[in-house]
Amino acid sequence: MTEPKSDIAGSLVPMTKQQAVLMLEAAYLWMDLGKFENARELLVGAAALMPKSEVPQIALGTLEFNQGRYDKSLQVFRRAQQLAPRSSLPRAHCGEALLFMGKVNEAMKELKVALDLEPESDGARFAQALIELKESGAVGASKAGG
Amino acid sequence: MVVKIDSSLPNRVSMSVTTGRQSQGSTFGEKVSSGLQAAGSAIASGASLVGGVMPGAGVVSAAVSSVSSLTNMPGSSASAAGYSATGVVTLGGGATTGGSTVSTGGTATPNLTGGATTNQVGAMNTELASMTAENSKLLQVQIALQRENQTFTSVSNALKTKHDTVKNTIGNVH
Repeated sequence: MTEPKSDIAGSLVPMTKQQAVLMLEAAYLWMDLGKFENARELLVGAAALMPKSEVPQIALGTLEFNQGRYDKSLQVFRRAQQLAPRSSLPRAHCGEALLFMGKVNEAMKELKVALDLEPESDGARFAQALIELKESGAVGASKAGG
Repeated sequence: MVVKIDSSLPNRVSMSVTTGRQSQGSTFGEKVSSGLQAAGSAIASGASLVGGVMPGAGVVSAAVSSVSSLTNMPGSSASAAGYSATGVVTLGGGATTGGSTVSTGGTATPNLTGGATTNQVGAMNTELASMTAENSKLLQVQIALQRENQTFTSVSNALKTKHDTVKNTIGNVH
């Protein structure tokens, strides 16, 4: 009997891509509805099932971010960055968390690295949007940047 | 006067009829002068129009929204709340400063009942000062409105990009 093939690299149990997408989308829906505990339950499960993927970690970081816990979200985004060091998206999220923590200089460094890593990616676009947000004066003016 | 001498005929004297002197058209100076007068009247009428419209601008400030209202919207998501409920995003403060205090000119009615010229001049001065103050406040409102609009656009763009990024990331999970 052959082992069923998994669509997700490094998953603990064989998973189809559809199952992974369903879990993550459900978690984001819970998050948008403000049901953070339900979202956490799903995302912790997804992170355990996909230990090599940065996507559940980014979702967990976003969960913390949406609750205003920026330092905690930064820690989670850093874990995602360790899983995908050449990806711009975790970097952009780190920059976002730093920006909202008031550490403007550090945030701008992270965002520029995100732009340089993958210039045409979604992460770079997100980093660019955050830079424009900072330049508009909407964020980052509350504390002296670290 | 032209004198024509014909050898076959007895001498005749032909005189052309004197015509009236054609007056020169309006000179450049005159045209410039009339143009300036026309422009002056146009500016005056424009100013009166603006004067009629400007006090209503206070109403515009009432329509100023702030990003903090994102949290109160029924369809707002937690990510939008994250951007607006932090206190880091500071919007709306500037717009309300002018909008709430701009009066519609009720206090600027000139006092012309005294009859004395000095009173009229004083009243006009008061009115002018009041109008200047109003215009200054309206300008502040406009600036605040513009700044808020720019900030709102930036926040909206960042949230949209974030949403699209999440959507694509989930779709491309591997």
